[in-house]
Amino acid sequence: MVLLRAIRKFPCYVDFCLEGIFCEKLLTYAMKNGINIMFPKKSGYVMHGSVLASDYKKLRIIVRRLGLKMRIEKKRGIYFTLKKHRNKIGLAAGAAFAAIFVLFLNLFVWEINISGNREVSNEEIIASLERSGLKIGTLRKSHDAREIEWNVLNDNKKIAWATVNIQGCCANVIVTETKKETEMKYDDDKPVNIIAAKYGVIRKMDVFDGQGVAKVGDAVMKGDLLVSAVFEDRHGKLTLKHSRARVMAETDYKITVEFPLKQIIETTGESKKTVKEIVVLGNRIPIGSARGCEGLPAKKEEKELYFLWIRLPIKEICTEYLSVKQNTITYTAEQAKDGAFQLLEEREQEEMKGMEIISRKINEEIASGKYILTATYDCVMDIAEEQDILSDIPWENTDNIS
Amino acid sequence: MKDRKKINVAKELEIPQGIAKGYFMEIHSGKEVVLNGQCDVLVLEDSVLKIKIDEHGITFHGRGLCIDLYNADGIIISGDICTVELD
Repeated sequence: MVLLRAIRKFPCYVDFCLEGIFCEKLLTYAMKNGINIMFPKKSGYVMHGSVLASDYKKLRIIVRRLGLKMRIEKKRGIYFTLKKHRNKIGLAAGAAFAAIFVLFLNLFVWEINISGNREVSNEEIIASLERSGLKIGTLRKSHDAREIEWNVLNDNKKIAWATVNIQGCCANVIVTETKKETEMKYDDDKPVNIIAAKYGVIRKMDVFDGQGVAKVGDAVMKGDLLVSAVFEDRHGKLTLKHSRARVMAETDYKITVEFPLKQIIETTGESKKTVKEIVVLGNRIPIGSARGCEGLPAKKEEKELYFLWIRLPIKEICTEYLSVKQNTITYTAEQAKDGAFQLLEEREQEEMKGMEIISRKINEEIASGKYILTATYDCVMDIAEEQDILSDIPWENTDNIS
Repeated sequence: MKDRKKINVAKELEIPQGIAKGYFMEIHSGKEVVLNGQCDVLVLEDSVLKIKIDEHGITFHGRGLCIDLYNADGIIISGDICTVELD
Protein backbone atom coordinates (compact mmCIF):
# COMPACT_ATOMS: atom_id res chain seq x y z
CA MET A 1 0.00 0.00 0.00
CA VAL A 2 2.91 2.33 0.69
CA LEU A 3 4.16 1.69 -2.86
CA LEU A 4 0.68 2.31 -4.25
CA ARG A 5 0.50 5.61 -2.38
CA ALA A 6 3.96 6.60 -3.66
CA ILE A 7 3.05 5.78 -7.27
CA ARG A 8 -0.14 7.77 -6.98
CA LYS A 9 1.73 10.83 -5.80
CA PHE A 10 3.97 10.96 -8.86
CA PRO A 11 1.53 12.38 -11.45
CA CYS A 12 0.01 15.82 -11.03
CA TYR A 13 -2.94 15.86 -8.69
CA VAL A 14 -5.04 18.28 -6.72
CA ASP A 15 -5.90 18.14 -3.02
CA PHE A 16 -9.42 19.41 -2.47
CA CYS A 17 -11.71 20.21 0.42
CA LEU A 18 -15.45 19.53 0.11
CA GLU A 19 -18.16 21.02 2.32
CA GLY A 20 -21.71 19.71 2.60
CA ILE A 21 -23.98 17.39 4.55
CA PHE A 22 -23.82 14.38 2.22
CA CYS A 23 -20.30 14.52 0.92
CA GLU A 24 -20.26 10.72 0.50
CA LYS A 25 -22.58 11.10 -2.49
CA LEU A 26 -19.70 12.60 -4.41
CA LEU A 27 -17.70 9.39 -4.07
CA THR A 28 -20.44 7.32 -5.69
CA TYR A 29 -21.06 9.80 -8.49
CA ALA A 30 -17.38 10.23 -9.18
CA MET A 31 -16.90 6.45 -9.31
CA LYS A 32 -19.80 6.12 -11.79
CA ASN A 33 -18.17 8.82 -13.99
CA GLY A 34 -14.81 7.08 -13.92
CA ILE A 35 -13.14 9.61 -11.60
CA ASN A 36 -10.90 8.15 -8.97
CA ILE A 37 -10.91 10.06 -5.69
CA MET A 38 -7.83 9.14 -3.67
CA PHE A 39 -7.67 8.89 0.13
CA PRO A 40 -11.05 10.41 0.95
CA LYS A 41 -11.29 11.42 4.61
CA LYS A 42 -14.36 12.98 6.23
CA SER A 43 -14.64 14.77 9.51
CA GLY A 44 -17.99 16.40 10.31
CA TYR A 45 -19.32 18.17 7.24
CA VAL A 46 -15.92 18.49 5.58
CA MET A 47 -14.28 15.89 3.36
CA HIS A 48 -10.68 15.98 2.12
CA GLY A 49 -9.37 14.03 -0.85
CA SER A 50 -7.15 14.05 -3.90
CA VAL A 51 -7.94 13.77 -7.57
CA LEU A 52 -5.88 13.77 -10.74
CA ALA A 53 -5.48 17.26 -12.12
CA SER A 54 -6.98 16.13 -15.43
CA ASP A 55 -10.17 14.91 -13.66
CA TYR A 56 -10.65 17.99 -11.51
CA LYS A 57 -12.82 19.88 -14.01
CA LYS A 58 -15.16 16.89 -14.43
CA LEU A 59 -15.38 16.57 -10.64
CA ARG A 60 -16.27 20.25 -10.26
CA ILE A 61 -19.31 19.78 -12.55
CA ILE A 62 -20.55 16.90 -10.37
CA VAL A 63 -20.00 18.94 -7.23
CA ARG A 64 -22.14 21.77 -8.63
CA ARG A 65 -24.95 19.32 -9.48
CA LEU A 66 -24.89 17.95 -5.95
CA GLY A 67 -24.96 21.43 -4.44
CA LEU A 68 -21.73 21.05 -2.55
CA LYS A 69 -18.87 23.50 -2.11
CA MET A 70 -15.39 22.56 -3.21
CA ARG A 71 -12.07 24.39 -3.06
CA ILE A 72 -8.49 23.51 -3.93
CA GLU A 73 -6.13 23.05 -1.01
CA LYS A 74 -2.93 22.22 -2.79
CA LYS A 75 -1.63 21.44 -6.26
CA ARG A 76 1.11 18.83 -6.44
CA GLY A 77 3.25 17.33 -9.21
CA ILE A 78 6.04 18.11 -11.66
CA TYR A 79 3.82 20.19 -13.96
CA PHE A 80 2.74 22.53 -11.15
CA THR A 81 6.31 22.82 -9.79
CA LEU A 82 7.67 23.78 -13.22
CA LYS A 83 4.78 26.17 -13.79
CA LYS A 84 5.52 27.82 -10.48
CA HIS A 85 9.13 28.45 -11.47
CA ARG A 86 8.50 29.31 -15.14
CA ASN A 87 9.73 32.88 -14.71
CA LYS A 88 13.04 31.86 -13.18
CA ILE A 89 15.35 31.87 -16.21
CA GLY A 90 18.46 31.08 -14.17
CA LEU A 91 16.97 27.80 -12.98
CA ALA A 92 16.09 26.73 -16.51
CA ALA A 93 19.50 27.83 -17.77
CA GLY A 94 21.21 25.93 -14.95
CA ALA A 95 19.22 22.78 -15.69
CA ALA A 96 20.03 23.08 -19.40
CA PHE A 97 23.71 23.72 -18.65
CA ALA A 98 23.84 20.72 -16.29
CA ALA A 99 22.26 18.51 -18.94
CA ILE A 100 24.73 19.73 -21.61
CA PHE A 101 27.65 19.35 -19.19
CA VAL A 102 26.69 15.78 -18.37
CA LEU A 103 26.29 14.98 -22.06
CA PHE A 104 29.68 16.58 -22.77
CA LEU A 105 31.41 14.60 -20.01
CA ASN A 106 29.82 11.47 -21.41
CA LEU A 107 32.08 11.80 -24.46
CA PHE A 108 35.24 10.95 -22.47
CA VAL A 109 36.78 7.88 -20.88
CA TRP A 110 36.65 8.22 -17.09
CA GLU A 111 37.55 4.77 -15.88
CA ILE A 112 39.90 2.00 -16.96
CA ASN A 113 39.28 -1.44 -15.49
CA ILE A 114 41.96 -4.08 -15.95
CA SER A 115 41.31 -7.72 -15.21
CA GLY A 116 42.88 -11.11 -15.88
CA ASN A 117 46.49 -10.13 -15.07
CA ARG A 118 48.57 -11.89 -12.42
CA GLU A 119 52.25 -11.38 -13.16
CA VAL A 120 52.00 -8.30 -15.35
CA SER A 121 51.19 -5.33 -13.12
CA ASN A 122 48.35 -2.89 -13.70
CA GLU A 123 50.91 -0.08 -14.04
CA GLU A 124 52.64 -1.84 -16.96
CA ILE A 125 49.34 -2.33 -18.76
CA ILE A 126 48.25 1.26 -18.07
CA ALA A 127 51.61 2.52 -19.43
CA SER A 128 51.08 0.41 -22.53
CA LEU A 129 47.54 1.76 -22.94
CA GLU A 130 48.81 5.31 -22.53
CA ARG A 131 51.36 4.75 -25.30
CA SER A 132 48.42 3.69 -27.50
CA GLY A 133 46.56 6.85 -26.54
CA LEU A 134 44.01 5.35 -24.16
CA LYS A 135 44.03 7.21 -20.87
CA ILE A 136 41.53 8.83 -18.55
CA GLY A 137 40.13 12.05 -19.96
CA THR A 138 40.51 11.18 -23.65
CA LEU A 139 37.68 11.18 -26.15
CA ARG A 140 36.14 7.72 -26.24
CA LYS A 141 35.28 7.89 -29.93
CA SER A 142 38.91 8.60 -30.85
CA HIS A 143 40.10 5.12 -29.83
CA ASP A 144 40.39 2.12 -32.06
CA ALA A 145 39.98 -0.80 -29.68
CA ARG A 146 41.54 -3.33 -32.07
CA GLU A 147 44.64 -1.18 -32.55
CA ILE A 148 45.03 -0.73 -28.78
CA GLU A 149 44.75 -4.50 -28.28
CA TRP A 150 47.45 -5.04 -30.89
CA ASN A 151 49.76 -2.48 -29.25
CA VAL A 152 49.27 -4.00 -25.79
CA LEU A 153 50.17 -7.42 -27.18
CA ASN A 154 53.28 -6.04 -28.86
CA ASP A 155 54.41 -4.12 -25.76
CA ASN A 156 54.11 -6.98 -23.31
CA LYS A 157 55.45 -10.32 -24.38
CA LYS A 158 53.93 -11.88 -21.28
CA ILE A 159 50.44 -11.10 -22.54
CA ALA A 160 49.03 -13.68 -24.89
CA TRP A 161 45.67 -12.10 -25.54
CA ALA A 162 44.04 -8.78 -24.80
CA THR A 163 40.65 -7.28 -25.43
CA VAL A 164 39.55 -3.67 -24.98
CA ASN A 165 35.85 -2.83 -24.66
CA ILE A 166 34.84 0.79 -24.33
CA GLN A 167 31.41 0.76 -22.75
CA GLY A 168 30.04 4.18 -21.98
CA CYS A 169 32.69 6.10 -20.06
CA CYS A 170 34.43 2.95 -18.93
CA ALA A 171 37.21 1.08 -20.76
CA ASN A 172 37.35 -2.57 -19.75
CA VAL A 173 40.66 -4.26 -20.53
CA ILE A 174 40.78 -8.02 -20.18
CA VAL A 175 44.12 -9.76 -20.62
CA THR A 176 45.36 -13.33 -20.58
CA GLU A 177 48.97 -13.97 -19.71
CA THR A 178 51.26 -16.40 -21.50
CA LYS A 179 52.14 -19.70 -19.89
CA LYS A 180 55.76 -20.49 -19.21
CA GLU A 181 57.40 -22.72 -21.81
CA THR A 182 58.08 -26.21 -20.65
CA GLU A 183 61.76 -27.07 -20.17
CA MET A 184 61.59 -29.98 -22.59
CA LYS A 185 60.95 -27.67 -25.54
CA TYR A 186 64.25 -27.24 -27.33
CA ASP A 187 65.51 -24.77 -29.81
CA ASP A 188 66.19 -26.91 -32.86
CA ASP A 189 66.75 -24.15 -35.35
CA LYS A 190 70.46 -24.84 -35.95
CA PRO A 191 72.90 -27.73 -35.83
CA VAL A 192 75.24 -27.64 -32.82
CA ASN A 193 78.02 -29.72 -31.30
CA ILE A 194 78.42 -30.32 -27.60
CA ILE A 195 81.85 -29.36 -26.27
CA ALA A 196 83.40 -29.32 -22.82
CA ALA A 197 82.94 -26.01 -21.00
CA LYS A 198 85.67 -27.01 -18.48
CA TYR A 199 88.34 -29.58 -18.07
CA GLY A 200 87.49 -32.70 -16.06
CA VAL A 201 86.95 -36.45 -15.96
CA ILE A 202 83.62 -37.63 -17.33
CA ARG A 203 81.58 -39.54 -14.74
CA LYS A 204 78.23 -39.79 -16.52
CA MET A 205 76.90 -39.04 -20.02
CA ASP A 206 73.28 -38.73 -21.11
CA VAL A 207 73.16 -38.14 -24.88
CA PHE A 208 69.64 -37.18 -26.03
CA ASP A 209 70.49 -36.26 -29.59
CA GLY A 210 73.65 -36.44 -31.70
CA GLN A 211 76.62 -38.84 -31.83
CA GLY A 212 78.57 -39.35 -28.58
CA VAL A 213 82.35 -38.93 -29.10
CA ALA A 214 83.73 -38.97 -25.54
CA LYS A 215 83.17 -41.83 -23.11
CA VAL A 216 82.69 -42.17 -19.37
CA GLY A 217 86.12 -42.12 -17.69
CA ASP A 218 87.72 -39.93 -20.38
CA ALA A 219 89.67 -36.87 -19.27
CA VAL A 220 88.70 -33.88 -21.36
CA MET A 221 90.09 -30.37 -21.72
CA LYS A 222 88.10 -27.20 -22.24
CA GLY A 223 86.74 -27.09 -25.80
CA ASP A 224 87.02 -30.83 -26.46
CA LEU A 225 84.23 -32.32 -28.55
CA LEU A 226 81.88 -34.44 -26.45
CA VAL A 227 78.87 -35.01 -28.71
CA SER A 228 79.01 -34.50 -32.45
CA ALA A 229 76.18 -33.03 -34.48
CA VAL A 230 77.20 -35.13 -37.47
CA PHE A 231 75.16 -38.28 -37.34
CA GLU A 232 75.96 -41.23 -39.59
CA ASP A 233 73.20 -43.76 -40.21
CA ARG A 234 73.72 -47.44 -41.09
CA HIS A 235 73.78 -46.65 -44.81
CA GLY A 236 76.67 -44.25 -44.26
CA LYS A 237 74.55 -41.17 -44.92
CA LEU A 238 75.58 -38.09 -42.94
CA THR A 239 73.03 -35.72 -41.41
CA LEU A 240 73.41 -32.84 -38.99
CA LYS A 241 71.50 -32.63 -35.74
CA HIS A 242 71.00 -30.22 -32.90
CA SER A 243 72.94 -32.19 -30.28
CA ARG A 244 71.66 -32.39 -26.78
CA ALA A 245 73.41 -34.06 -23.86
CA ARG A 246 74.12 -33.85 -20.17
CA VAL A 247 77.76 -34.59 -19.40
CA MET A 248 78.54 -34.85 -15.70
CA ALA A 249 82.30 -34.54 -15.10
CA GLU A 250 84.50 -34.30 -12.04
CA THR A 251 86.10 -30.90 -12.09
CA ASP A 252 86.81 -27.94 -9.87
CA TYR A 253 84.85 -24.75 -9.22
CA LYS A 254 85.91 -21.51 -7.59
CA ILE A 255 83.93 -18.89 -5.73
CA THR A 256 85.44 -15.71 -4.30
CA VAL A 257 83.50 -13.45 -1.95
CA GLU A 258 84.59 -10.17 -0.41
CA PHE A 259 83.22 -8.60 2.74
CA PRO A 260 84.36 -4.99 3.43
CA LEU A 261 85.44 -4.36 7.03
CA LYS A 262 84.04 -0.83 6.79
CA GLN A 263 80.64 -0.38 5.28
CA ILE A 264 78.44 2.65 4.72
CA ILE A 265 74.82 1.68 5.13
CA GLU A 266 72.03 4.00 4.12
CA THR A 267 68.87 3.87 6.21
CA THR A 268 65.64 5.70 5.57
CA GLY A 269 64.44 7.72 8.52
CA GLU A 270 61.51 9.98 9.16
CA SER A 271 59.54 11.66 6.42
CA LYS A 272 61.17 14.85 5.22
CA LYS A 273 58.42 16.29 3.08
CA THR A 274 55.00 15.30 1.78
CA VAL A 275 53.87 16.53 -1.60
CA LYS A 276 50.30 16.12 -2.79
CA GLU A 277 49.08 15.99 -6.35
CA ILE A 278 45.55 15.95 -7.67
CA VAL A 279 44.81 14.22 -10.96
CA VAL A 280 41.75 15.78 -12.59
CA LEU A 281 40.60 14.69 -16.02
CA GLY A 282 43.96 12.99 -16.54
CA ASN A 283 45.95 16.17 -15.75
CA ARG A 284 48.24 16.38 -12.72
CA ILE A 285 47.96 19.43 -10.52
CA PRO A 286 50.77 19.55 -7.93
CA ILE A 287 50.00 21.05 -4.53
CA GLY A 288 53.36 22.07 -3.10
CA SER A 289 56.87 21.67 -4.45
CA ALA A 290 59.32 18.79 -4.12
CA ARG A 291 62.37 21.07 -4.35
CA GLY A 292 65.33 19.76 -2.38
CA CYS A 293 64.00 16.21 -2.27
CA GLU A 294 65.32 15.06 -5.65
CA GLY A 295 66.92 11.64 -5.48
CA LEU A 296 65.48 10.80 -2.07
CA PRO A 297 63.53 7.60 -1.57
CA ALA A 298 59.81 8.21 -1.72
CA LYS A 299 56.59 6.45 -0.85
CA LYS A 300 53.67 6.99 -3.19
CA GLU A 301 50.09 6.56 -2.16
CA GLU A 302 47.17 6.88 -4.55
CA LYS A 303 43.72 7.62 -3.23
CA GLU A 304 40.60 7.57 -5.35
CA LEU A 305 37.86 9.96 -4.38
CA TYR A 306 34.26 8.87 -4.07
CA PHE A 307 30.96 10.69 -3.93
CA LEU A 308 28.80 8.34 -1.85
CA TRP A 309 29.51 5.08 -3.71
CA ILE A 310 30.31 6.65 -7.11
CA ARG A 311 33.98 6.83 -8.05
CA LEU A 312 34.95 10.28 -9.26
CA PRO A 313 37.48 10.90 -12.05
CA ILE A 314 39.67 12.61 -9.47
CA LYS A 315 42.70 11.02 -7.81
CA GLU A 316 44.88 12.21 -4.97
CA ILE A 317 48.53 11.18 -5.10
CA CYS A 318 50.46 11.65 -1.90
CA THR A 319 54.27 11.40 -2.21
CA GLU A 320 56.19 11.14 1.04
CA TYR A 321 59.93 11.83 0.73
CA LEU A 322 62.01 10.09 3.38
CA SER A 323 65.25 11.38 4.85
CA VAL A 324 68.35 9.19 4.40
CA LYS A 325 70.91 8.55 7.12
CA GLN A 326 74.37 7.22 6.30
CA ASN A 327 75.86 4.99 8.98
CA THR A 328 79.47 3.81 8.83
CA ILE A 329 79.84 0.40 10.39
CA THR A 330 83.23 -1.11 11.22
CA TYR A 331 83.30 -4.88 11.55
CA THR A 332 85.78 -6.96 13.50
CA ALA A 333 87.58 -9.80 11.70
CA GLU A 334 85.22 -12.35 13.32
CA GLN A 335 82.12 -10.45 12.29
CA ALA A 336 83.50 -10.01 8.77
CA LYS A 337 84.25 -13.73 8.60
CA ASP A 338 80.67 -14.59 9.55
CA GLY A 339 79.37 -12.16 6.98
CA ALA A 340 81.69 -13.55 4.29
CA PHE A 341 80.58 -17.13 5.03
CA GLN A 342 76.96 -16.04 4.78
CA LEU A 343 77.66 -14.51 1.37
CA LEU A 344 79.48 -17.68 0.32
CA GLU A 345 76.52 -19.84 1.25
CA GLU A 346 74.21 -17.61 -0.75
CA ARG A 347 76.54 -17.86 -3.78
CA GLU A 348 76.74 -21.65 -3.40
CA GLN A 349 72.95 -21.97 -3.36
CA GLU A 350 72.68 -19.70 -6.35
CA GLU A 351 75.49 -20.99 -8.58
CA MET A 352 75.96 -24.63 -7.63
CA LYS A 353 72.43 -25.89 -8.09
CA GLY A 354 72.49 -29.49 -9.37
CA MET A 355 76.21 -29.93 -8.65
CA GLU A 356 77.54 -32.68 -6.44
CA ILE A 357 80.23 -31.32 -4.07
CA ILE A 358 82.99 -33.81 -3.29
CA SER A 359 85.28 -31.56 -1.24
CA ARG A 360 85.72 -27.87 -0.41
CA LYS A 361 88.90 -25.92 0.41
CA ILE A 362 88.60 -22.42 1.80
CA ASN A 363 91.33 -19.78 1.80
CA GLU A 364 90.78 -16.76 4.07
CA GLU A 365 92.71 -13.47 3.92
CA ILE A 366 92.31 -9.81 4.79
CA ALA A 367 93.51 -7.45 2.06
CA SER A 368 92.85 -3.79 1.29
CA GLY A 369 90.20 -3.48 4.00
CA LYS A 370 88.26 -6.55 2.87
CA TYR A 371 87.81 -10.02 4.22
CA ILE A 372 88.29 -12.28 1.21
CA LEU A 373 87.11 -15.88 1.11
CA THR A 374 88.20 -18.07 -1.79
CA ALA A 375 86.45 -21.45 -1.91
CA THR A 376 87.72 -24.15 -4.27
CA TYR A 377 85.43 -27.11 -4.81
CA ASP A 378 86.01 -30.57 -6.21
CA CYS A 379 82.63 -31.32 -7.68
CA VAL A 380 80.68 -33.19 -10.32
CA MET A 381 78.91 -30.79 -12.66
CA ASP A 382 77.42 -30.58 -16.12
CA ILE A 383 80.16 -29.37 -18.48
CA ALA A 384 78.19 -29.66 -21.73
CA GLU A 385 78.18 -26.49 -23.85
CA GLU A 386 76.58 -25.96 -27.22
CA GLN A 387 78.74 -24.76 -30.10
CA ASP A 388 77.38 -23.73 -33.50
CA ILE A 389 78.83 -25.44 -36.56
CA LEU A 390 78.90 -24.37 -40.17
CA SER A 391 78.59 -27.14 -42.72
CA ASP A 392 77.11 -27.89 -46.13
CA ILE A 393 75.72 -31.22 -44.97
CA PRO A 394 71.90 -31.23 -44.90
CA TRP A 395 70.67 -31.11 -41.33
CA GLU A 396 67.65 -32.61 -39.69
CA ASN A 397 65.31 -30.21 -37.97
CA THR A 398 63.57 -32.14 -35.23
CA ASP A 399 61.31 -29.30 -34.13
CA ASN A 400 58.21 -31.31 -34.83
CA ILE A 401 59.60 -34.26 -32.84
CA SER A 402 60.26 -32.30 -29.67
CA MET B 1 -34.94 -10.28 -15.70
CA LYS B 2 -31.52 -11.38 -16.88
CA ASP B 3 -30.32 -11.82 -13.27
CA ARG B 4 -33.35 -13.98 -12.44
CA LYS B 5 -32.63 -16.13 -15.49
CA LYS B 6 -29.02 -16.50 -14.35
CA ILE B 7 -30.14 -17.56 -10.89
CA ASN B 8 -32.55 -20.11 -12.34
CA VAL B 9 -29.82 -21.57 -14.53
CA ALA B 10 -27.49 -21.68 -11.52
CA LYS B 11 -30.20 -23.55 -9.55
CA GLU B 12 -30.63 -26.07 -12.36
CA LEU B 13 -26.91 -26.64 -12.52
CA GLU B 14 -26.72 -26.86 -8.69
CA ILE B 15 -24.15 -24.09 -8.51
CA PRO B 16 -23.91 -22.52 -5.02
CA GLN B 17 -25.93 -19.34 -4.62
CA GLY B 18 -24.07 -16.10 -5.03
CA ILE B 19 -21.64 -17.30 -7.67
CA ALA B 20 -23.83 -16.41 -10.65
CA LYS B 21 -24.69 -13.01 -9.24
CA GLY B 22 -23.58 -11.18 -6.15
CA TYR B 23 -20.52 -9.86 -4.45
CA PHE B 24 -17.48 -11.24 -2.66
CA MET B 25 -15.98 -9.85 0.46
CA GLU B 26 -12.59 -10.74 1.96
CA ILE B 27 -11.44 -9.59 5.35
CA HIS B 28 -7.68 -9.70 5.91
CA SER B 29 -6.77 -9.97 9.59
CA GLY B 30 -9.33 -7.36 10.55
CA LYS B 31 -7.15 -4.70 8.93
CA GLU B 32 -8.39 -4.67 5.37
CA VAL B 33 -11.58 -5.49 3.52
CA VAL B 34 -11.64 -6.21 -0.20
CA LEU B 35 -15.11 -6.13 -1.69
CA ASN B 36 -15.70 -7.06 -5.32
CA GLY B 37 -18.72 -5.53 -6.94
CA GLN B 38 -20.09 -2.10 -7.67
CA CYS B 39 -21.19 -0.38 -4.47
CA ASP B 40 -22.25 3.02 -3.15
CA VAL B 41 -20.67 4.72 -0.18
CA LEU B 42 -23.40 5.97 2.18
CA VAL B 43 -21.45 7.00 5.27
CA LEU B 44 -17.77 7.77 5.53
CA GLU B 45 -16.44 8.57 8.96
CA ASP B 46 -13.40 7.69 10.99
CA SER B 47 -15.22 5.04 13.02
CA VAL B 48 -18.12 4.08 10.73
CA LEU B 49 -18.19 3.22 7.04
CA LYS B 50 -21.42 2.14 5.42
CA ILE B 51 -21.81 0.90 1.88
CA LYS B 52 -24.71 -0.34 -0.20
CA ILE B 53 -24.27 -3.27 -2.54
CA ASP B 54 -26.94 -5.40 -4.25
CA GLU B 55 -29.75 -4.12 -2.06
CA HIS B 56 -27.70 -4.99 1.02
CA GLY B 57 -26.25 -2.49 3.44
CA ILE B 58 -22.88 -3.34 5.01
CA THR B 59 -21.65 -1.29 7.96
CA PHE B 60 -18.06 -1.46 9.19
CA HIS B 61 -17.25 -0.23 12.68
CA GLY B 62 -13.72 0.36 13.86
CA ARG B 63 -10.95 2.92 14.11
CA GLY B 64 -9.17 4.89 11.40
CA LEU B 65 -11.34 3.54 8.60
CA CYS B 66 -10.45 4.87 5.16
CA ILE B 67 -10.94 4.01 1.52
CA ASP B 68 -7.78 2.94 -0.26
CA LEU B 69 -9.35 2.18 -3.62
CA TYR B 70 -12.82 2.79 -4.93
CA ASN B 71 -13.91 2.13 -8.47
CA ALA B 72 -16.54 0.28 -10.49
CA ASP B 73 -14.93 -3.11 -9.76
CA GLY B 74 -14.97 -2.81 -5.99
CA ILE B 75 -13.69 -1.11 -2.91
CA ILE B 76 -10.75 -1.62 -0.55
CA ILE B 77 -11.23 -0.41 3.00
CA SER B 78 -8.43 -0.33 5.55
CA GLY B 79 -8.22 0.39 9.26
CA ASP B 80 -8.89 -1.48 12.51
CA ILE B 81 -12.19 -3.21 11.78
CA CYS B 82 -14.08 -4.34 14.87
CA THR B 83 -17.60 -5.11 13.61
CA VAL B 84 -19.23 -5.87 10.29
CA GLU B 85 -23.02 -5.58 10.09
CA LEU B 86 -25.10 -6.88 7.22
CA ASP B 87 -28.59 -5.37 6.82
